[in-house]
Amino acid sequence: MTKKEFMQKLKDNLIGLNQNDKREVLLDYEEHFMDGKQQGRTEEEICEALGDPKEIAMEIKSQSQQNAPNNDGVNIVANIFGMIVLSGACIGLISILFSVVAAAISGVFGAVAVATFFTDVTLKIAAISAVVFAVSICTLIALGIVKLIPVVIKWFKQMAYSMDNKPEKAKAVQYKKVKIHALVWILLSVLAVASICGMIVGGVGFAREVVEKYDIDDIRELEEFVYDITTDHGRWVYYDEYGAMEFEEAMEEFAEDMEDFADDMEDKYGRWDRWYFGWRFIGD
Amino acid sequence: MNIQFKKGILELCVLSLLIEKDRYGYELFNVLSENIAVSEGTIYPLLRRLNKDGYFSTYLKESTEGPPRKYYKITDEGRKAHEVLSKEWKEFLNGVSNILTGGTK
Repeated sequence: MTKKEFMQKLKDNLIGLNQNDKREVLLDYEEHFMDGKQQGRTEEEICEALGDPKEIAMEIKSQSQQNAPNNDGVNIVANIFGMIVLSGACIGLISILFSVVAAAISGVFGAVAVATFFTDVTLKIAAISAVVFAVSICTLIALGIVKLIPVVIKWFKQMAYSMDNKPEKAKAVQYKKVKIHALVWILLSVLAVASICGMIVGGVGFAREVVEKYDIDDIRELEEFVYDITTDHGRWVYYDEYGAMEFEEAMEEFAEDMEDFADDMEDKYGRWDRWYFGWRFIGD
Repeated sequence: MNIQFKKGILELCVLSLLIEKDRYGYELFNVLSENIAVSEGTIYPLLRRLNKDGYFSTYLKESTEGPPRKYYKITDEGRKAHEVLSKEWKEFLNGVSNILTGGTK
C-alpha cells in the first residue's frame, strides 16, 4: 500500500468524525510518514507497520463516542423535527416569494396599462411612479425572503445541534454579512421614496387638472341630476319639469335628458369624460 | 498480554517520556519502539485519547526539515496521572518479583 492509498482509506473510514478531528488525525499521520521517510523508511514499510487504516479509524472513532454523551434518540427526533419544520418554513417562504414576484409582474402590466390610458404628462408620471414603487417594494420583499431562507436553515441547524448536545457545532454555524445586499436595499429604498414623491406630484397635478378643466356649472348640473333621481327612496319624482308621471315614463324622459347631457359633455371633454359624467351615475 | 494492561503501560511510558521534555509524535514512537514492542498504528489513537483527557497539550513548532511538527507538552493533570500510574506499576513489579523470587510464604 502507498501512503496515498493509506491516507485515502483512513479518510474514508473516519466518516462520522467532525471536520476538525478528522483533519487533525490526517495531519498526525502525514507527519508520521514524513518523519519515517526522513529516517530512510519506504512508504510500504511504514504502511505495513501502521497496520490497517480501518482499524485505526475504528479505534479513534470509538474514543470520540466514549467522550460524547450517547443521545442517538434525541438526535433522530431533533433531525426529523427539524426537517419537518424546516421544509414547511422553506415552502412557506418560497411560496411568498413566488406570490411577490407574481404581484410585481402584474403590477408592471397594470401600471403600464394605466400609463397608456392617461394622456396628461402628470398622470403619466404618477402611473410610472406607481410602477417603480410596486416593483421596488416587491423586490425588497423578495430579496428579504431570499436572505431569510439560509438564516432559517442555519437557525434550525443550530437548534438541532444544541438539542444534540453539540455546542461546538452550533457555534461553528456563523452568520455572514453580505454588504451588497445592504447596498441594494438602500438603492431600492431611495427608489421607493422617489416614486412616492412622483405619485404625490401626479396626484396634485390630477386634482389641479380636474379643477381647471371642467366648468363648475356642468358639475353642478350633474349633481342635480343625481340628486333628483336618488330622492324619495328610489321613486322617480320630477313634478316640476315633467309633471306627475308613471315610473317607466319618467324613466324614459330622464334617460333621454341624461343622454343629451352626456352627449354635450362628450363634445366638450372627450370620450373618457363621458364615462366620468354619464352612465356611471344612472346605471342602477 | 491483556490489551487494556498493555495500553496502561504504554500510557505510563508516554507520560514518562513527556515529563523529560516536549516531544513530537515520531520521536515518541522512536524511543518507545527502541525499548518495547509497540504497534506503530496505536500510538496516535493513544496520544489523541490522552490529549482529550487533558494529560497534555499540543503546539506546533517549526522544523528545519519541512512543515511544522506537532509537539506534545505534559500538563499538571498529566503529572498527577503519571504519579498514580507509576506507583501502581512499581507495586505491580514488586508483587511479581516477590512471586518470582519466592518471597511469599
